[in-house]
Amino acid sequence: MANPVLFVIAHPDLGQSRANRHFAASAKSIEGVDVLDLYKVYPDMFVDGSHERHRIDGKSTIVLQFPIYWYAAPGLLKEWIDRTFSYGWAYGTNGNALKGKNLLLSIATGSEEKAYGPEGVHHHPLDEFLLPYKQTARFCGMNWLDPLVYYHARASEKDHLIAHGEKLKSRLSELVHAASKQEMSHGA
Amino acid sequence: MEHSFLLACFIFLSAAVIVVPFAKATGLGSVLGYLLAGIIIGPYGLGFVTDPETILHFSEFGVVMMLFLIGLELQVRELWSMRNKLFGLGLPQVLITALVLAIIGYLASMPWQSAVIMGLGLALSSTAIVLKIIEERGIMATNTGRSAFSVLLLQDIAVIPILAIIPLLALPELAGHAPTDDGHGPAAATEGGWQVAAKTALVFASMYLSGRYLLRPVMRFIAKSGVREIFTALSLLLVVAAALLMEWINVSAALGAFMVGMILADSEYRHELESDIEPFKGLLLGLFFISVGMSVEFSVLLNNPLLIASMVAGLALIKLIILWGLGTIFRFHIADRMLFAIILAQGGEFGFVLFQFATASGALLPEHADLLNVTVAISMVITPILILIYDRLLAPKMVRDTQTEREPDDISVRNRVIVLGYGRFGQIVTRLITAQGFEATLIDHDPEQIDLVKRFDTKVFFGDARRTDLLAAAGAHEAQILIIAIHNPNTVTEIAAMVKKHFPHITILARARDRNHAHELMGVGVTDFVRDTFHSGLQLGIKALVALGYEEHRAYRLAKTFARHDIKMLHEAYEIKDDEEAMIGHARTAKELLAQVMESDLVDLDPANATNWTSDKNPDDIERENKARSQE
Repeated sequence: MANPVLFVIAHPDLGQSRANRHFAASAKSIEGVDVLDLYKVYPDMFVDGSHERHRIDGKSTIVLQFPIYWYAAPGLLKEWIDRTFSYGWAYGTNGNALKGKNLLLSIATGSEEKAYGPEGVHHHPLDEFLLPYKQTARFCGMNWLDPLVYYHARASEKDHLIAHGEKLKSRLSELVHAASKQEMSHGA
Repeated sequence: MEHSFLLACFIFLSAAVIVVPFAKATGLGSVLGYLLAGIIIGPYGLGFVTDPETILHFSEFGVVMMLFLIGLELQVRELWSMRNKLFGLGLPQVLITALVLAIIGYLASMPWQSAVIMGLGLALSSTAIVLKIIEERGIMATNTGRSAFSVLLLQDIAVIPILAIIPLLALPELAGHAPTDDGHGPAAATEGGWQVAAKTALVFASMYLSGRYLLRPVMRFIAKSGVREIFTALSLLLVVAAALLMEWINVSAALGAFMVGMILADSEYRHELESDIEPFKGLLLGLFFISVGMSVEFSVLLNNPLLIASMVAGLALIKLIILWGLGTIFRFHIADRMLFAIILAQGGEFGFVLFQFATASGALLPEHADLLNVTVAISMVITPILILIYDRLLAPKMVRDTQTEREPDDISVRNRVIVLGYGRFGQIVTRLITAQGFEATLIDHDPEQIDLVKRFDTKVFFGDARRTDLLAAAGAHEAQILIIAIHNPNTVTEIAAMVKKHFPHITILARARDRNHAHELMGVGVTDFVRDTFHSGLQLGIKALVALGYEEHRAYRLAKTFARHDIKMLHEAYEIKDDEEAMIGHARTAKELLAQVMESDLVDLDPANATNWTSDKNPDDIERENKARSQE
């Protein structure tokens, strides 16, 4: 059986990001998770939509791991969604391919949590910036899961980073587990 | 005469062929193997060869060649980066060892002049043995290897001033002493010291000038002729000429070769010279070790067994202590420090040369020279044995502390990138890489091209890259990637296959000519290749589409889609490349597929789909609308 979880990491300088690197490694350590390093696979940002759709077929969960750049994901992740979530597949007539799948965002931010608030420099809670992703999930009939957020990534302590990595791992394990349970009940 | 020459050859070669692989297999190392072979066939062994001295002298040429090669390896820049070790490790080693030994000699009632010569002569280690051991253990790039090399190098350099001062140290009672050595040795110094010095300076100056300005055009002319063995002949001629010139001024031939090597070190023909000389050097050096084994004068040894034993032990011990101390000052790890000290704790072939010259110059009594020569020879024989002890008994006890181990960045490591073929293709690749701060070793076989790029301050080495030994000389053992940018596809495949076989650790990046050549390269195991006209053709294709009215980004995406499809088909076709019919069928389907693929990529983001975002339309209407659009 193919792995049920697709973990997409979108970071243009993974070598420079301790947190994103750690989370990617955490994801890799979980059985049942496929890890896709977008900037590695598409260094020219030329996403092969049909190839990506094949990749998603048969998955029960898509996890998107990314840093927040100007209140959104890095450009290639947007391009990936643009090219992959196509008409007749993700939406529109017969566009049911994503229906029922889970979408989980795993985000690392540069700023502290309090920066995302009415008093903070960003003025809005992070949730509000994630609205396009939430609505994308909804439009495609996906289940929106509560995002995992790691604030103030650069300045954080090592223990804190490891603890968050463990949290991510247990979330991923649960998702893998749930998928295999579902598979079994379908089989029965 | 002819007959006896062949017979001697037969004895030497069979001794080497039988004993050396055996010694190597049992872990004794090839140097000890050669030495043993020498002892076995020598006058005190089976007695096959009774005149080791002639052979020793002949095979000393191996040392000459080795120093030529070392000189070639040594660019001024590298020499400069080694300065700390040269003067911090090498100079104190020579001076302190010489001083201690000279004092001991003087206390043992030698004339002070002879004592000084003994100290200086014994302070020198054996370049031949040590470098061979370093090479065999593959530790040239490590701290130990580099430090030992620095010490050896300083010793080699020190030979010049030592040879220059020996005539000044002539013993009064031996003044006018006729040379006992009648064939090959340096003639007695009948001229005054300053005359020798003037002559020496003159020879070196003219050697430098001709090396700089005369040799290059000559080498270029010969390289252009394309007759390979003539270049080999020229390489040998250079070494022989340097040696002769040095003999004329009573200076060690090895040193002359080293100087010529250094003069040519920044020449574009360096790697070719290296690989030409290398096999001769290897054989002659083996012969040299054999003759050292043969020339251990067991009669001198038998007459003074205790004296010789204590001299060998004393020499080794004093050298070990001094080297150990220097290693401590330089904060080597304990295991490194021990290996460094053991490797260098012997007398060397320069000792023979110095003592011979000193005897001839009347600065050393022949009986003293005999004792010293035997001591040096035995100390050379025990070095491989000491190393064996180190490997088996000492090293296992010293657990490496990885925390404290930090290699000082002293000598610049050899380049990680080698580029073969510095033509129109290779230049683009290289410029991209070197702009990131990497240094690449560039090799081309066209003298005109080399001259051309030289005008732009780019250094390209001349050489035939199909030769394994040339690539080895260019540092293929240490290199990380090899870029083959030669335009002849057969040459590219040949080199790729050879490199896969001999240097399997290197990542090969190859220039392919076309689909067939790409398949050939895949056949020899190359995965990273680019067809040389493919991407430039695509780039012009993009411009063509734009000229036809396409938007830039659309044209670019079409070209990318085309490239992706084409590369996929190339790999598919590889699987069926031997079946002609299947290939033709595949080419046909590939063409049809291309049309589909190119269309689908654009449909995904087709603005027509935007209508679906307006929710007030009936999905069926949208469907109909889309169909209509796609038929337009």
